[in-house]
Formats: sequence, C-alpha cells, structure tokens
Amino acid sequence: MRKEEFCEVFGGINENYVKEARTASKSKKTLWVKWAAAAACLTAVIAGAATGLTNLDRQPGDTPPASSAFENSGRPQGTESPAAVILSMEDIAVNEISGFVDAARKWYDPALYDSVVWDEEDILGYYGKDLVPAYIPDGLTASPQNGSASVIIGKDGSVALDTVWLNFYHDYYEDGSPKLTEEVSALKGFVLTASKIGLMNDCVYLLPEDEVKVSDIGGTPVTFGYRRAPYGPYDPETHEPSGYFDMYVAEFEFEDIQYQILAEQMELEEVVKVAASIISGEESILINE
Amino acid sequence: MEDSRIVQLYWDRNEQAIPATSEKYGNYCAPIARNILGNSEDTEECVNDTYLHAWNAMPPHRPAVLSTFLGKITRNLSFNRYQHNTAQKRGGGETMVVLDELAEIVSDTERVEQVVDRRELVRAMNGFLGRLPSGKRSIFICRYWYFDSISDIALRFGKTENHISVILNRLRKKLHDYLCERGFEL
Repeated sequence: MRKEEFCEVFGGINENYVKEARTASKSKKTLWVKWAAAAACLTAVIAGAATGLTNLDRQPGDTPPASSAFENSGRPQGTESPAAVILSMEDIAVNEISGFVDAARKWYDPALYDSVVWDEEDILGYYGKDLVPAYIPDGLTASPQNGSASVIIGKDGSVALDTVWLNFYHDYYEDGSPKLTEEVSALKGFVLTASKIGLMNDCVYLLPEDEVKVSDIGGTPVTFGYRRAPYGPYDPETHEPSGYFDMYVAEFEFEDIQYQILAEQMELEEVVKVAASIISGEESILINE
Repeated sequence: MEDSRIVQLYWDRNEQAIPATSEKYGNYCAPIARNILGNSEDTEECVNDTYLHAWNAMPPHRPAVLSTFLGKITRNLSFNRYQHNTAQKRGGGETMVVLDELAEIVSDTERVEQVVDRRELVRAMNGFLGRLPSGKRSIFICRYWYFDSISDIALRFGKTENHISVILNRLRKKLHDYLCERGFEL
C-alpha cells in the first residue's frame, strides 16, 4: 500500500478521537495556566491574604492521594463544548478483589409490600437526577431496559428496595440482555447500580477493610477494585478456564446515592472516566498522564 | 453560535451558514490545511472550499460533530491539493516528513493483486487507537491526522521533542504489528 493511501484511510478514524486530540492538547495548556494561577494564590495565602483555594483543601481524616485528582480545565476557546475535567491516573489506587457476595435478599411479605415498576419519570423523581453517566465510552450503548426499575414499596408508601441497574454494553440480544463478545466469552461494558438505601452486593477485597486504598475524585472518596476474572469454556479435565479478562469495580457515595460500577473488558482509564463523569456531571473527562 | 444552529442554517439553505462556520471553525480548519500545504494561499483556498463542500453536503448530511466533520473535509481537500502540488514539484508543510514516517508502517508499493478493504482497515485502526492511553492516542492523531509538527506537539503536551519522536516511533511500530497480526498486507 502506498503511504499516501494509508494516510488518506487514516483520515477516516473515529471522529471522537480526532476531537479528543485537540481538546486534550488545548486543555493541558489551560491547566498549566490554572496551576500557575493557583501557585500565585498560594503565595498570597502565605502572605496572609484571603484566597479561593478551598477546593484544593483537604479535611483531616480524608485518605486522598498527595495531589488533587480533579481539575476543571475551563472551556476551550472557540468551541462551545462543556468544560473538561482533568484527572491523573497516578492518583487512582486499585485494590485487588477476591470475589463478590450478594447481600442476603429479603423476602417482602405481599401483605405489607407491593412490587412496583418505576418508569424513567419515577426514577428521576425519586433520585432527583438522571442517573445516566455523562460519559459513556465509545462502542457502548444503553440497554433498552434502562428506563425502568422493579422496586418494593411498603403499603405505607415507604420505599423498601430502590436499586436501579443501568446497563451499558457493546451489544444486546433481542430481549435486551447484553451479548458476550466473540473472542472472549464475557460481557464488554459496565452495569451501574444506584441506591439510596444500600447496594445489593459487596466486593470482597483481599486487603483488610481498613487498608483498602481510596482514591479522591473531586473530593468524593472512590474505591476501585480489580479482579482477573476467568472465562469459559473450562477444560473438562483440568478445569482451567479458556483465559482471563479484566474486571474493574468502582464504588462511591455521592449526594446521598450509593453507586457501584462493575466493568468487564474495559480499561481502568475508562472506568475512572465514567465515575468522574457521575461526580462532576461533565462528559469531557481528560486523563493527564 | 451553537453547532446545531449552524447545521440548521445549512439545512435552511441560509447563506449565513458560511460566515457562522468561518467565525467559529476557521481557526480550527486553517492550521490543518497549513500543516499539510505549508503556504497561506493554498491554505485559504482549501478552507474556503471546505465551506463549499459543507454547503453541498448539508443537507442531506447532519454531522454529529461539526468540528471534525469540517476538519475531515479540510484534511481531504488539503491532502489532494498537496498531491497535486507534489506532482508539480511544489513543496508543502509537514506532509512529506509525515508521509515518510507512515512509510514505516506500509510497504509503500502498489501491487495489483493487493486489495485492502479500507473500511476494515479503518475499523482496525480504531481498534488500535482505542487500546492506547488517551495521551498517546492524541499525540499520534496530532501527528498523523492534523499533521502537527513535532515541536508543536511537544509544546502542546509539555514534553521534549525527542520524547515525542520516541513515542511516535514506538506507536508506528505497534500499529504496523497490530495490523499485520490481523492479516492486513500493507
């Protein structure tokens, strides 16, 4: 193939990458200016002057990394895209997961509780916000089943079970359930679980609970977990799996809602972006290497 | 003006679409053409031709991302102009160096029996780019999509020129191996 032809073909790559390349470079410049401004403010603090650095302050008892993992880059000049949020992967700590356990499922007495299906409007009314993350990685789409949730409501009107699951996977069967990928028989994408009352399953981290590392995203502590998950078919004699794929989990509480992102066959960077987009509300999340 | 409003002007066949596009995206398209062509006269013509092509494309097209839609037109027009100029021995910006770098990925020969499915190749390129960390992906795209100079990229990403060259060199090698592993005879 001629180099000119290859160059022409390269012109047809995913336009989101093309857009990202310009946003990323512009934002880094802006960030530099912002850090310079922050440094100037810090000097003023030392001099005893009042400053606006409260966003960078940390409270005693927090377990954030040394540097801020959250900056707002501002709006790139000449475009109307939303402000970008900048994260550094150096500030993200990942804990190894040995497995998951389902919390004990309660049985709800039909004499006291009703099973109700919430539609999109009900979910919005209860949670007070759209739970769909602002950032969805390329190639993933929302499940057609995302607009509803089966919940349990007491006869007195109290909400007993409020968990909402939102699926974002690469492909779906006709019934709306996510498809496995061809090369690796596992899902590709993530499920976002949200609840005000409490999540229905827990990660089992290898480290003791008080040693699990927490990352700080915009002041919200986020626990990231990783598991090298096996996939089948399994060898009938040795019981060895066909291989392993990456499984990441992000857990955090933000504005009184507990979130869990369970991601399969996704890069950690993408999982971080999804979590950061929920916390910041911004679609444009840039990873500063 | 918001992108959706500009696109609507095209759909309404309202000539205000052109100045609105020029005002918002002139400074986005011009550097692409300048990087490829290296002279202001051809650059201006290609950017103006971009608006004409946009006018002809909308409707029926309704671009999802207006900036890259326009950028892609500018890139195609400028690259065509570059090839025309090269045939007439007129020089051009970064293009010759960029193409020489890309020659490391392909054989740079034309074999009659060699037919590459362009759509499949783009899909594979996207697969490769999707696996890169965003920073490296952006550096690669700045060089081979936008034709940015090494010094400009170094400045944008806060790295030395040597560091950028090393990154690009490794990524070209990786892309070559990635495509070969997937059966592309380049």
